[in-house]
Amino acid sequence: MTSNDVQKARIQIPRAGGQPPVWLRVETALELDDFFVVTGWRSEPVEVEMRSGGVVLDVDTYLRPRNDVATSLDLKSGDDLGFAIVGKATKGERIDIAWHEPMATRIPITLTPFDDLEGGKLPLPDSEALRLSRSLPVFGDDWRRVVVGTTGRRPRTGEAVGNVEFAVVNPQARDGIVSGWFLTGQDPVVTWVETSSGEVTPLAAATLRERQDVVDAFAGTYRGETRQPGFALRVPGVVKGDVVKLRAQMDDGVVDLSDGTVEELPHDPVKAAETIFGLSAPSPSRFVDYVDQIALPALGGLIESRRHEWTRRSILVREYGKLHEGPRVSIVVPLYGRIDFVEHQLIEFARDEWLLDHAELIYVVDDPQILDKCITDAAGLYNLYRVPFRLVWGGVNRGYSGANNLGAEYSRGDLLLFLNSDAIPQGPGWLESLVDSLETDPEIGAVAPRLVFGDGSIQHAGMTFRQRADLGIWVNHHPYMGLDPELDPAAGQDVDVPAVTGACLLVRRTDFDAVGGWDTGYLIGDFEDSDFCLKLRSNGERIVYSPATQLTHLERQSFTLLGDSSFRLKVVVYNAHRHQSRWGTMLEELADAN
Amino acid sequence: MPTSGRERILVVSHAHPDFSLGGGEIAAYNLFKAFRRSEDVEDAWFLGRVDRGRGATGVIGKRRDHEYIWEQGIADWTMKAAHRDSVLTWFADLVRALRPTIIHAHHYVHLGLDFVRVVKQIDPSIRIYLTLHEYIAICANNGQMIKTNGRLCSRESLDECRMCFPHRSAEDFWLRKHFLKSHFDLIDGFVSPSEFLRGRYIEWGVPADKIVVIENGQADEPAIDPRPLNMGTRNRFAYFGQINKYKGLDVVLSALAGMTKKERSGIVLEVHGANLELQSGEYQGEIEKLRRPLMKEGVLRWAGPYQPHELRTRMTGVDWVIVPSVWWENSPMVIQEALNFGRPLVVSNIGGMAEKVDDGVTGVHVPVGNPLAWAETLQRLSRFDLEWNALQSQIIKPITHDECAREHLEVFAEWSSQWTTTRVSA
Repeated sequence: MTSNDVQKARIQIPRAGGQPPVWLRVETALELDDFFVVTGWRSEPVEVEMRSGGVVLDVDTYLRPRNDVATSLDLKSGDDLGFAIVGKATKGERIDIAWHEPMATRIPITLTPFDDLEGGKLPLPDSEALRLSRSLPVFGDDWRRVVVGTTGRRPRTGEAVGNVEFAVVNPQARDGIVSGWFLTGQDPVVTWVETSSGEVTPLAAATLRERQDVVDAFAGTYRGETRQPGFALRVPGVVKGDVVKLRAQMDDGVVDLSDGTVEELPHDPVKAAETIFGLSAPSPSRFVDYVDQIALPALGGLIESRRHEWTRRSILVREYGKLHEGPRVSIVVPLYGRIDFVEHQLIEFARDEWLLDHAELIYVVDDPQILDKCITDAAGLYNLYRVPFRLVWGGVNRGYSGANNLGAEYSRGDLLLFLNSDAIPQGPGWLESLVDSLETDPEIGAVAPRLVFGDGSIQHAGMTFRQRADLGIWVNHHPYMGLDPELDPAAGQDVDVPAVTGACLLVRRTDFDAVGGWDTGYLIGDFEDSDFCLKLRSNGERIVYSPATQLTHLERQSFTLLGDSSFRLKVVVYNAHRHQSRWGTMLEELADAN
Repeated sequence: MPTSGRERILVVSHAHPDFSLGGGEIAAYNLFKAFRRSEDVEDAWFLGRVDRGRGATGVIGKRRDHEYIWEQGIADWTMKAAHRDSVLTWFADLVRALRPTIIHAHHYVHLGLDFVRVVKQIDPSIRIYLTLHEYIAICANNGQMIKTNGRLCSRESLDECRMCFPHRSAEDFWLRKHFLKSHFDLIDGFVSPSEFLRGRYIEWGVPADKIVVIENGQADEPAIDPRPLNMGTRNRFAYFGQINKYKGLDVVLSALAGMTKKERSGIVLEVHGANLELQSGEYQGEIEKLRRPLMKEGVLRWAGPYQPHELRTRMTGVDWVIVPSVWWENSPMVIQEALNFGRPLVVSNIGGMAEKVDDGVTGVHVPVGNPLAWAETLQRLSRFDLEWNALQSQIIKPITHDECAREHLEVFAEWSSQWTTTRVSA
């Protein structure tokens, strides 16, 4: 008998003793990478085995009812007539199907490569195919061929339960994040997220977190899992509208626990971060891992593309009064949110002769909400205070770094003084004195003054770096903050410090250009100033704190990062992660030196 | 530059007495008149802020020869002018046209402080002097230096001020002071009618050598004869002026109400008060409840408001003038008027009242806000005449308007001799 016979039509196997013959039909014979699958039926539940070169192969045989067969052959029952045999085989190996009763028979089977199969699916109902999947190494190619794209069964109570709560994707990077929770009734269960385009991502790669709500609701029924049920998983290769499924491998197949449709993250990185940080993100102490594995890949592209978009925006520039022709210093002040500080700065600039003679003033509007008011008020403020200034609007909010860079672009001074709008001089002479400090040594990259709060206590006296083991990050530290300036050990002398604040910072334009300006890769803003100083440092420049010059900085008291799980804290951790990825070694050295 | 010749003085006031009769604007106007009479003054003008019921239009208009009115106001609690453009235009035109050597401003409430900067931009040699009438720069609570919970306040502090105004932040108070102080820095000298107010402003940040005390001048009129006594005693007390919760009339009415009928039968209190109807309903109700039975008994006589020229007649019939204010006061006009007319005073023992009335010399101090002490004092003073006679004989007449103007001109001249000014961008 040839293989073709049994694979084309049923064949008759005679039986001794005048009994009616047994019919056999092989419907499918597929060759996968390491496995074969043979399916078919016979008219009596005789035991079938697979052989290769005379050796009986170790196989899994799955039986199932074939009532169609029973009907057409007029048999009493179709139970167990159907079979599916899965076994290990090397590609190209010769396989025979064989049995002993009623008489020893062996028929060679021609295996068709799985990839040639039309539709790419086993010619079995999904429930059948998925039963076979248990014999295949999970996440291997064969397993994927069998499992991906199928519909699993619903989980039984007590078996497994889970939910996809969010599925979002960064439109640039096609890097999705799926988050939700998952509990099982037995250990261990292999679980994964499968996309409609066929990507499979094991849940083992997820960052986990506690979900007391889930434990409270389900732990009584699902006793198998002691780990944290909350998960967030980076899922590559998804686009908006894709459906993602949370699935788990069970002994008898695959269960589909939950699914969700992928939504697009906002294009604005900050808004996208709000979404991402709000997903099943772990507690602050482990948030840095979440940043590393989930948030960074998802946000990276957005920040890049935001930067790219800036270059396409037209820039609005207006001048009030006659600006200095060849200023020595350009004062760049970004405006965001409140603008009532501007008048207070102008009051001080108006009585500073050196400043009026040597500096130009650039206000960079960085907030679409205040643009109209800025333009409305600007002429009046100039008429009253007679301090000429340039108003620059970059068409879109760019953040502290982006706005500062834009201001620098629209300025002409050899020196750049970056100033926060809520930093207000205490009298004339401050700028001249900072310039003097900078120019004592060409090696000095940046100089910043002492800043005090409204109550006169220290806000800035140089910056150092501190490790926050609880958060797994390095943070910028403001030493002596809140103390009486009398207690500042720097007294009146300029001193070298690891870094200085960006709230009032003087730098040469050549140095500014050499380090590429302010880094725009941070979210909202925390580490731009230390990053800037560390760039200067890595170019061999000194960073100097000049306590003899003092301004008032009306910044609200910084929050402490303690017991805070707010968005703001998460932003700090996100930025810190970026900061220490770039400057880790230098941070450690500087911390040791202190 | 300081002039060696005669001064040209523009008096700028927060109100014009044709439209409003507060002590500050009356003092400013009288001083303007006295400047006009002075031989040391080449010319003088008066610019009074007015509200003609159509808001701060910024419009300046002529009231009569040498007198102008200005529809101005304040934009916010930091005392920025409501109509800033008019400071740069019409006000600036007026200054350029009048060419004053001195601008003497009274108050900054209603006017804003922007005019100070603009004057210095027009001509930095114009000297600007400012007479302070209350504590607006120091205290956002109507310049009263009373906490919003009613307690007396002794000093500003960012955090404590915030507690009075919880919707503001400490930074807001910093910004307010920064605006005020930076404009005070442009002013060449300050005049305070009381040592008390001067002290408070020095503590706040005005340099001590830039602020002097000059009392408000009074009309050059003779004292009034003592009220003729037939059978009675010096038992007639009188309250003059605005009635509001800071003025403490309720304290004195409570004192009377707390006495036995017999105790108060020998006392008469006249109230020559105005503007009760402008006060909160709660305060009006409180006064109404206290005054009704007292008026019925004849202890209290409600005389109602008066015009400045009627004051002499009204004081003729009384023995004592009371000033029971529960806020600090500066230099209450009624004290100077009582002294001018020869009437001893009974006053709260704080601030400008305690300063202007010498306890046991020209009057009597009573612990502030204490009805029991007021009751005791009114009974004591109304029983015997000896104390009144002694106090009345020791009263020294206050300075006249002309003397007041002369004192100002002397101080202006002294300041001019040490004159320096800061440059503002122009």
